[in-house]
Amino acid sequence: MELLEVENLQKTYTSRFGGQSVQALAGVSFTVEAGQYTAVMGESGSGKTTLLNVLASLDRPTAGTVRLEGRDMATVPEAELAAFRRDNLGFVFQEFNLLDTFTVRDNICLPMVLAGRSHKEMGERLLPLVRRLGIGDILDKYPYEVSGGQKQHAAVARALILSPKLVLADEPTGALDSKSSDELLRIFDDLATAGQTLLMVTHSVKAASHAGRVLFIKDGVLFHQLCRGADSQERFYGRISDALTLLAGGGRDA
Amino acid sequence: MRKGFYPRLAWECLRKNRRFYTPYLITVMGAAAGFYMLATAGDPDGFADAGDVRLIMRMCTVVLGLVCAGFLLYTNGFLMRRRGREFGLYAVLGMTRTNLTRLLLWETAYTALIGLGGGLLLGALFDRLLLLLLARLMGVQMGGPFLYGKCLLLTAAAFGAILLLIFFVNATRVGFMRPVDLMTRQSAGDKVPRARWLIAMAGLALLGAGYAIAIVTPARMESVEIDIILIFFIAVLLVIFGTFALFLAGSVTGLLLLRRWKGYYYKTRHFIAVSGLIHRMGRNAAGLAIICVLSTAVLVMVSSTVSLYAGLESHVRRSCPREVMCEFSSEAETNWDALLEGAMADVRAAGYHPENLVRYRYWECSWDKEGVSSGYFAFLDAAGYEAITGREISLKPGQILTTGQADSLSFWGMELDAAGRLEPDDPAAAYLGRSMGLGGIDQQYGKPDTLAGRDLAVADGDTIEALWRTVRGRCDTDQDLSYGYGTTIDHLIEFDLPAGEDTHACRVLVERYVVDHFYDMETGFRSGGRDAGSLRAELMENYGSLLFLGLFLGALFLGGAALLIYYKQLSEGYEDRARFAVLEKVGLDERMARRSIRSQVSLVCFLPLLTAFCHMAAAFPLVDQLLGIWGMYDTGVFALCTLASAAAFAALYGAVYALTARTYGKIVQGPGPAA
Repeated sequence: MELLEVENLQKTYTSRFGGQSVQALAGVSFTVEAGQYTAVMGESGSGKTTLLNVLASLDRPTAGTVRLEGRDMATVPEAELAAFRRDNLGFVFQEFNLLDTFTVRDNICLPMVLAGRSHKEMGERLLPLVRRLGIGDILDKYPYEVSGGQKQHAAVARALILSPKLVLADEPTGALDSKSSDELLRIFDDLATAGQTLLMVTHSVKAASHAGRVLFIKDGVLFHQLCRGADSQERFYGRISDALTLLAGGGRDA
Repeated sequence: MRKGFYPRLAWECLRKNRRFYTPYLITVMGAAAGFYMLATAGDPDGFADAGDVRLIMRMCTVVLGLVCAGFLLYTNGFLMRRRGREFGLYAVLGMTRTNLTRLLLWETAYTALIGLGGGLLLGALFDRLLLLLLARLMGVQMGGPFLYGKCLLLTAAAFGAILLLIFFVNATRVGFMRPVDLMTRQSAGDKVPRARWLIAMAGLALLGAGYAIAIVTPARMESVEIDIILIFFIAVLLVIFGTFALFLAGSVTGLLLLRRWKGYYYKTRHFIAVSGLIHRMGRNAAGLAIICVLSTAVLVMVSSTVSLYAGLESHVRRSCPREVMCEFSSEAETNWDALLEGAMADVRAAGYHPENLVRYRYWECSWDKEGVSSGYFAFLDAAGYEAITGREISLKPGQILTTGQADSLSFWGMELDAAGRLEPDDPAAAYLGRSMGLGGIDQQYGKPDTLAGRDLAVADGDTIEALWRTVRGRCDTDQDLSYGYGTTIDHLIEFDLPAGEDTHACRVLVERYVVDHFYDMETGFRSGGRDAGSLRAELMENYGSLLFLGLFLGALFLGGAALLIYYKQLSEGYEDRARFAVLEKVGLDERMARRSIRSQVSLVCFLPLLTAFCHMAAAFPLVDQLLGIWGMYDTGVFALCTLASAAAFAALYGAVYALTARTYGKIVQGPGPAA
């Protein structure tokens, strides 16, 4: 079953006085099935962050539709968007975006508190989750007291606490050292194995090679896509590298 | 490096950061000017001539110095946080700790030169202007030097010390940080909030002690002699330190307790507010405490000086039951009836229209009980009693009416019969107490319209004369008699004048007539008196200058509080911008986020105001007592003035808050940093 359907998505930014306009997305279409682990790759300015913002309903598209479980996101009223995001989507950011005024525990619980869930339910959901992510011992620390890797784990826990239909990750390994990156990617692998739908925007070939499928974006259009199929991760890494080289070469010609 | 490099670099630094440094320099200037002006008010050569006022001004100067130190340290902390990246960059570019210290030293020098120098100049100028304005308002000559050397030195020393302290704090902070820390400190710099029970408890204890002193002292005043101004100062210091400790530690401790209460904490509204406040209070405690202290000072000064001024008319009426009061006495035989009637005829002839005329004789004597004198009696002649109260009484010679207890009284060998009893609150007692100013003289009794412990005794005029002669004969010398007893009987004449007639001139006329027609000056003739017009003018001058002082200091302190609130909104705006963005992404809708952050900020802003109201309420009984020193006994008027000042202050505070909140709103809604 298709969880996410993206159809002819366009986004044009116009400067305030209507002078210059920049087309960030020029008609992107793809679908993501439930349980699929998808990576989106592209150079800076290729439109991948815009794509993520539109999928996250943080930004409205100029044209085209995004459907989550068949529901057109454009039909969600502005006032309900926040609640819609909270109930359906989980976010992992490059810069973690944990709030310094909350402990790690409270940061993870934040979406539940916003959704008005009971304090008992929070404990029930929190404990297995943090055990799985290995951050059970830092719950009472503040974000500025723990390492980057731990922060990102906490951010992942926050994204997962309400069991979202889709987890969106924006360069999740971008601010991490290689060891922490490996750990995070392993966690993503586990999540994908457990059937969690993931969509990750990344620069890193290594991160992308963990996904089941990689979409390449360039100048606002879907340029290419690869499926891992039965390949080993190493082999898939090679294929992605080749594709990127091709992408870069094609860019020079175009 | 080339000569003159640091002075120029330091100047550039200040110029580049002028958005933050201009208000800071203005603050230093204003604080120094205010401090100087307050110091001159307490100077022996200054315009506040009364000793008590001067003492209070000195107290205020000390408090203002403390507050200024705290305030400048706080604003400096804010400035340095914003400049962390700049210093980090200098360090990365190769400036050593010594270099940075030299840079800071030059910056301090400029701050001192502009802030302190400008402040002293402004202070001297405004001081002079204020004096001139006061002189014009009160219609009196105001002396005093143009510059108060001692006060200038004091101000320079105090602010020099404060700026030097700030320099050391900054030098230590910058010197011991690694460049990387300096550069990232702007965003981090958070400390884990901890419950500090000891400081919180100490704060509670200090505040409790201050409150207790303020509330208990007035009751104890009746039995123990207390230096009320000193007590007030001690209470003020206790409350200031208590407020600081409570804001620093108590608030965070309390909030952390709230956080432990999970059923409360994990609710959408409380969750964000409590956790936000835990951090916000920890960082802003000093600023909030200063706002609170300043607000309290404004409330106390404005309410008390306004109520002095507002109570002026009732003070005049209390001290002068009739608008003109003339008092004469002599040991020689005198035809008082002819003399006083002649005087009144003269007054009428001069075009005055006296009304409610009262004439009476007054004499104080003690009761001789078994050879020992005890108990004071205030004798009033029967005709005077009838004139004052409008009641009719009939007394035979040798009979008295008294508020005292015994049936027959022996006064130095002369027996008097008590023909009846007067109630202790007899209107004549109140009238005499006011007219003689007995209550006001005796602080211990405090109430103006009583005979301050004396018993009222009414007898006919001849009996009083006979009694006086007896006592006079029994005593060998005046010395014995003057031992608390009236050497002579006072003859008083009191009357009102219609509005517009000069009470002072009229009184002078009566006195002159009596003096001119009283031929024997050898026999210890005395005259005295009081009139509403002169008293009003005198009080107007005293209270007017106090009111001016109160309003001036109120404006000064309110300005300080307004600047502080502006700083707070500015710094919090920058912090909240990032928080706001993250919360939105995680699923808090914009409306809710805005409401939550607003309510937090407004709570933080209004907490000091509420605490200040609390302080004012606790201080009320003590200040009420303190006002008695200046003859203000009307608690009702003081309460009304306090409420009015509190309402006016709350309105002004709210306006300042609303204005600065707009700045805050602009910052939060502006383009946020990539969070």
